[in-house]
Amino acid sequence: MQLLEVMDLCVRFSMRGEVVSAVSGISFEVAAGETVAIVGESGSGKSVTALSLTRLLPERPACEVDGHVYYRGKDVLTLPQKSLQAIRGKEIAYVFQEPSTSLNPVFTVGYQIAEAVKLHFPEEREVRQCVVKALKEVGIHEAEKRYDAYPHELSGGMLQRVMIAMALACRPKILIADEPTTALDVTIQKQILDLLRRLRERHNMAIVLITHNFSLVQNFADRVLVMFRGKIVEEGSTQAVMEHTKHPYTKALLACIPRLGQKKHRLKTIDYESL
Amino acid sequence: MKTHPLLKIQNLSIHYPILSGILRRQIGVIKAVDDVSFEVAKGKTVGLVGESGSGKTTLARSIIRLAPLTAGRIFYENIELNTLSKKNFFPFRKKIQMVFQDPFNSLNPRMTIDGIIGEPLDIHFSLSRTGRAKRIAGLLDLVQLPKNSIHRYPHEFSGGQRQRIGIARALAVEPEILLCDEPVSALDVSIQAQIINLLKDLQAELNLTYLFIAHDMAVIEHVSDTVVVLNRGKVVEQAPADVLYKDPQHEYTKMLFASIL
Repeated sequence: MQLLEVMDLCVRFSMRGEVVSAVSGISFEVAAGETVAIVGESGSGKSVTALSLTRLLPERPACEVDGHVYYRGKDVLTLPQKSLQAIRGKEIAYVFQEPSTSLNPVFTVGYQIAEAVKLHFPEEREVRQCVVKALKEVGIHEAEKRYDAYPHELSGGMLQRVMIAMALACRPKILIADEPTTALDVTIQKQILDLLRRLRERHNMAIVLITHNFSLVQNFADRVLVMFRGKIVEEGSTQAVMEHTKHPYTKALLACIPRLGQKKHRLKTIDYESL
Repeated sequence: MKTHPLLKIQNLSIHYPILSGILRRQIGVIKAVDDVSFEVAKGKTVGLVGESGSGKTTLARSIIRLAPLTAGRIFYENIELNTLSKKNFFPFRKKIQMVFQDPFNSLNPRMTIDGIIGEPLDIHFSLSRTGRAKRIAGLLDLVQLPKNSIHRYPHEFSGGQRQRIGIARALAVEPEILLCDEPVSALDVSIQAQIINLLKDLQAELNLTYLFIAHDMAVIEHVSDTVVVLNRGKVVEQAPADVLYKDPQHEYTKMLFASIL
């Protein structure tokens, strides 16, 4: 039994009577400790896929989710609210793209991490200690002091570390990172990826990385799923996909990345008509 | 023959006081931009790289008076811009235009495309109604947007299309210089390539001069003739692009290269 098994997932939104299909029948698996990247452009359905894994999308009738998402054999899509809450944050945790808007500005960062710990470990006595330890683990200096800092007092890179600390405080088995470095500087981006890599090894945690940036995937993911218009158009081990690209869309996506030392060429763009 | 720089930045500094207490006493100073000098030749592109907080956006904004100078001089050809009165500076607003980073926040959601692109035309030119319509249609054509876009609102467009609208707005007044503040960093890689190609085509077609701000070293290499590296408000290195990319001198530049994935 795989840790996470997605079968025939379909997500449809109805907007003013019109039905828009965001994800149309995708299936994939994530094993324990494995890193899977979902790559695609905006609108390809990758974030919607991520959100549907713990039913974070709006309820019917605004949004209809079909198919199965099995977490350790239990179908998340049909679980009662209470058992679902035990999985959210505890077993499957998220890190979102924009750290400055994912945190509540009127509470200290320590309080917000503690909230997750208190919810999932009600018997825990040393909550503050737990939180400080989590902050230390993501490389925040003077964690004891930073506990009482408000989000506006920290930089974007620091806030993203806080988000990761919050996600990891409950020791999830799967971390879903939705564009975790897109809002960050390149130098910080590398630090965050190194951090995720270290934590992944230490806790044998699976990571589902969602990104539009292929260069991010290259050194980070074991497996890649390429999404285009709500479907998986190509999947395989990262190396195989990068070296023996099969689908024309993946080829086009790889070709349009500007790379060092290729200045004289005009950048390739994707010809959507032909796909 | 030495070409004259179109834009010259000389010893530019922008400092912000840190105030504290109810008396708002100054307890320190933040040097957002600190003694920066460089030149931009006509028809060329200077790439400005650095991390967030390095002062690159503040620097660009100060050129069109969106940020106050503490010290230093800005020249457009031989005219010193920073000493001009508001009225005398006005014609230069036409010559120097800006393309902003975030195509979602830099367009007024309550204005149609016609209003957004037409507004600078109304301010700087007195065109007849047909002349105005013709000019807007020409601009849409230039940035490859469909003609029927004019009566639509920004939310009806994708990120890449919105950035095209922002570029059309900047080009409306026939500027000489475009200050491009991270014009592609909010976009998907595929759309990023389209916008970079568009900016390069426009440069060749209209002989535009660019100050191009980005944090992506590969993007900067792709567009720039000269590169200026900023760190904490100071220029740590500036060199022709091919020289800098072959042999970076400063530790900070090397570190930027090392962080490329």
